[in-house]
Order: sequence, then structure tokens, then C-alpha cells
Amino acid sequence: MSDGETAAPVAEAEWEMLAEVDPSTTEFPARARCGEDPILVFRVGDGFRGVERSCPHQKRPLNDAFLQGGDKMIRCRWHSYTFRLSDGRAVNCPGYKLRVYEVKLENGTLFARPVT
Amino acid sequence: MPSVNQVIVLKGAHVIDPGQGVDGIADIAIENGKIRSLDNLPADAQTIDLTGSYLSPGWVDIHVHIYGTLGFADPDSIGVYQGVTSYVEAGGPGIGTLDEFLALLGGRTVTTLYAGPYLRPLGILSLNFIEGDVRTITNVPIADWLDFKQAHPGLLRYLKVGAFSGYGYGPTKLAKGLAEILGLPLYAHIGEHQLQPGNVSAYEIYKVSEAGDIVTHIYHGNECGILDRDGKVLPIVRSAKDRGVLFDVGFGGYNFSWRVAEKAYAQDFIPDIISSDLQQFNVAGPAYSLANVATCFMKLGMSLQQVIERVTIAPARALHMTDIAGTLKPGMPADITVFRLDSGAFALSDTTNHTREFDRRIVPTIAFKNGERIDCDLARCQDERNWLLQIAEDHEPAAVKRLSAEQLGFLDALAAKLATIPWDVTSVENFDYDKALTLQAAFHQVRVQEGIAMRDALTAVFDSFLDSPFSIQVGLFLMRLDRAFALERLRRVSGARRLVA
Repeated sequence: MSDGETAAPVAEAEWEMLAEVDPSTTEFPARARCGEDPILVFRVGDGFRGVERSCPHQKRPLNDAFLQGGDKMIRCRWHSYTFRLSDGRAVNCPGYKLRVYEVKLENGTLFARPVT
Repeated sequence: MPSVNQVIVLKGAHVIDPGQGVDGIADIAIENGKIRSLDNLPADAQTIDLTGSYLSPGWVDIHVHIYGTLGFADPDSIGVYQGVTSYVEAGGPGIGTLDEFLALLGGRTVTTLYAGPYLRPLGILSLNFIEGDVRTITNVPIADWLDFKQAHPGLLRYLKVGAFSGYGYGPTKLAKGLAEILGLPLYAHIGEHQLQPGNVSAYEIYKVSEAGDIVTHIYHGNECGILDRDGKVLPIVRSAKDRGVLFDVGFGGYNFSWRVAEKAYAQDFIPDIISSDLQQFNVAGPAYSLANVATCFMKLGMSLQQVIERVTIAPARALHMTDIAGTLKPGMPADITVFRLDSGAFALSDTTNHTREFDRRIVPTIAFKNGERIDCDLARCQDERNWLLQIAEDHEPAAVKRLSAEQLGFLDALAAKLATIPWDVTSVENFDYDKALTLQAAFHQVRVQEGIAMRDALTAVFDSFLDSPFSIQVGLFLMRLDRAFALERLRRVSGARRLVA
């Protein structure tokens, strides 16, 4: 894209119910599926955020990853590769990207959709 | 605080100075920044009671990263504040970035900083998927190397190469040849073979290395290690050690495995040098500090004296600097580390997420650098702002307000130049190394054209994007920025100042 051009709007994905996660009893991070995507759901601040289950660096599991920077980032415990939870962009490892998911709580049920 | 000219006597510590064969309670005197004889001490000498502590020559860490994409914003946080009085930047710069490295860090650390530059002109990329690509070596300008070494005597301590190229043994032999021309030890990294299954190029290092060359990451648990499939130390490795090739720990982020270290230790294969390879990606665990890495070797079975030898006189010998570091002989720089040996229950993790429990821990408490006292602070390096490089995308860093008119003019010209160069960091697979070189060349072209000093130009760029003062190859730094954002920020920073003026 040349300087000054703007991207076409991207359609938002549908919300998927995370039936296997009971937010009142489940320990977090919790394994779930957003449609076909296996994800991990983290508690962040007052809400939740989902990420793919392994780090894009060396595919190590993220179930014991650290939340960093006031829960705005996630850091893989293996090599400290760190990603923004807002959009999955790499913080300290340019070129890598983590798939992240919006997660909302409605009437005691969690729903997720990929951040596009 | 006493002046460095005053005589200070450090009393009552258990002194471990393996270079002089000292191991017992002794006093050490300091005067004018140097170790002083205990004879004829003046009556007004200041004394510091160190009863109950250990004391050794200042620790030397031959493998750290304070520059480049692995480096820290607060380099002394892994130096004197951890009891390390001298360290070597292990491969961050190459011949194409040593000038940037010096402009940003030369003379700016309390810890004495040496360089172990990389064969690749740009230095370490910290992008492992292309680190082994022989094309990234691009050029080996021998005359430039010789000129730089001559212009900066004592700065270069070894030449580093990653012995894991996917192109056979060529890079290793190139580096050995250049090291020989420069009169430096070859420092060979043998990790990261997990990224290239079947590549056994690291084994060449044991053939081409001579006495005094150094192999690092010797206890990594990935492919192409020092053990065979049955866990025996390879004959080619043993043979290299027997002829004087030095073996260095280089704990790192991938390169210390308890499994390998324990098997090697059981076969009496112990390191010649203990180094940390501290970097952004291991300081928050599992490496933490040179003291923590050294403690791992006590867990393996080494004595405290053996461990201290490998962070003092052994690295000083390996780097040919026993005249300035490694012992407490009178007349030597007063580089001293005071430490405790704590008892308790401590967990020591390797880089493969395996842990061993241990009942002791080495804890540095005071460093003296050229006689100046620095109280150690192991928590200092853990500050997220020190190791997590974040682009200030939603605000302008405070340092922008301190940029000079000359720096702002430079940024204005740089923005105009960069606007003619497309770049995009979209994915690992598409990372464009050549583009980083193009961006670096553009930066320096504008710098020369604007007649601005190297440091002023570099800090103008970094201060426009970073809240913390990291020091990185400028081409790689620009490459990692979103282009539209980078151009907008440069224009805004330089333009806003013009409006104020």
C-alpha cells in the first residue's frame, strides 16, 4: 500500500459461543474453541481475551504465558516473545503475529470472535 | 561518599582470587581506583567491614547483549548492578554498525564494555529464520575491519560467528580467516540448529578452532550439540578441548539444558568460562543474572572457587586482558565483586523449562568499579522498560522535547528520504533483510548530507519512537516500524518544533 492510501473495511467475524468454558468455575487461561480454532481464554482486567494456543515463534504452548504491561500484552514464557492482545502484533519480535480473539461475557456465557 | 583517591580497606571478607591462588580471609586495599598494597596504610584510611561476605576480582561476562535487537535500555543493570564489572557485547554490531554502537554506548556505561563483533556487517539480527542465511553476510571488508581495530585498540575482544549456517562450513571458515587476520579469538555460537534439522555445520567449528578460540552455548539441548545419541561427549569435541579450544556456557534463551549439562559434567566435561548471554529474551527468566547462571554450576557440582575462577581470571585470560581484569594484584584496576552465598530453597531453570532445586545461591551485593562503590540491585534489570522494547505508538516520548533544532532538521530530511523507500514488515517469511540495509544507508546518507553527528542523528530517531533508550542497528529499527506511522511521527516531531520556533 502506498503512503496515504487507506485499507478497505474488513467485515467482522461472527461471535462464537464458548460452551465449554464456564466463567464462574473455570480456571483461566481456559482451553476453548472459537469455531474451528483452538484458543486459550485469559482473564484480563475486568474482561477476557483469547489467543491461539501456541506461540508463533516456536509453537510452544501459551497456557503458562505471562500477561504483561497491565494485561495489554502476552509474553511467551519460553523465549519472552511478546504480543499485543489488542491486535496480536509483535512487540519485541518483528515479523511475527499472534492470532487474538475478542471475548465477551453475556448472560453468564462467553462468546469469542477473531480480531481481524 | 569517599573520594576515589582516598584509601579504602575492605576488611574481613573471604577473598577468592583464583588468579593468585588466594582463598581465605584477607583484606583488600583500594587507592586512586586501583588495588593497593596493604603495606604502609595511611591512618585515615576508610574501612568497610565485609565480615561474612565473599570478595573476588570483578566478574567478567564475556557474553551479553546490550546493543541491537537483543539489548537493554539500561546496560549497567546487567553489569555493575549485578556484580559484573566488565562485559563483552557478543555480536550485536558488525563492521557496518560498530560506528553506531560506539556512538550510542562508547564510554556511557559504568561497566567496562568491550565488543565481540559479528562477521555479518549488520551484526546479530535476532531473527533466527534468516540468521543462518549466508547471503546476510553480504560482505567481509577486510580493510575496514583492520582500520577499525587499529583505531580502537583494546575494544575488540573476539570475532563472533553463528556456526549454524545452512550453507555448509563456509561462514565458519570465513570467520576463522578474518579472526586470524585481526589477531582475535574466534567466538563460535553453536546453538539454534533446531531450526535447521539435519544441518550439522556446527561440528566444523571443532575442526577449524585453534587453542584460544572459544565455543559458546556448549550445553544447548538442541541438534548438533556436544553429546552423541548415547549421551557421550563427542570425540571431536573432546579433542578440541584437549588442544586448547575454550568452552563457554552462554546460557542464553535457548542454550542451557540441564540434561546435557548433567551428562557432560558426569564425564568431567566442564566449562572453561561461565557467561550469561543475558538479553531481552531471558533476563526475566530463566537466566536472570550471571550470578544465577554461575549458581547452576555449583548445583552441577563445581566448587565456589571453580565457579569464581570461571567468571574472573578464566575470561580475562581468554580475552587476553589479565593486565586489566581478573585478579586483585596491587596496581590492577580496583574492579571487585562482593557477594554472599545464601542458603535456602532455590529453583534453577534451564531454557527448556526444566528445573533443579538447590540449597545455595550466589548473590552479589557490592561492586567496585575502578574503586567506585556501586551497591548491587538485582531487581533493576527486571524493570519492563529495560527489556521490553515497545514503540510509543499512542504518544510522543518525552525525549522529543529535548531534541535540538539540528536534530529536528535532520528528522525532517530523513522523513523526506524515507518517503521514497517502500517497506513493510508483514510476516516472518517476508521479512526483507536487504530493505534494512537500504534503510540504514538512507539514514547515513541523510546524516552526512545534514552534517549532524552520529549520536545526535541516532538519538533523534530513537527518541521519536521510544520511551526508553534502547540502542539498535538503525536500519533494523526503522524496518520494524510500520511505515505510515513512522513517516507520520517523523513529520509530526520535526514539524511541530518548526511551528514553535
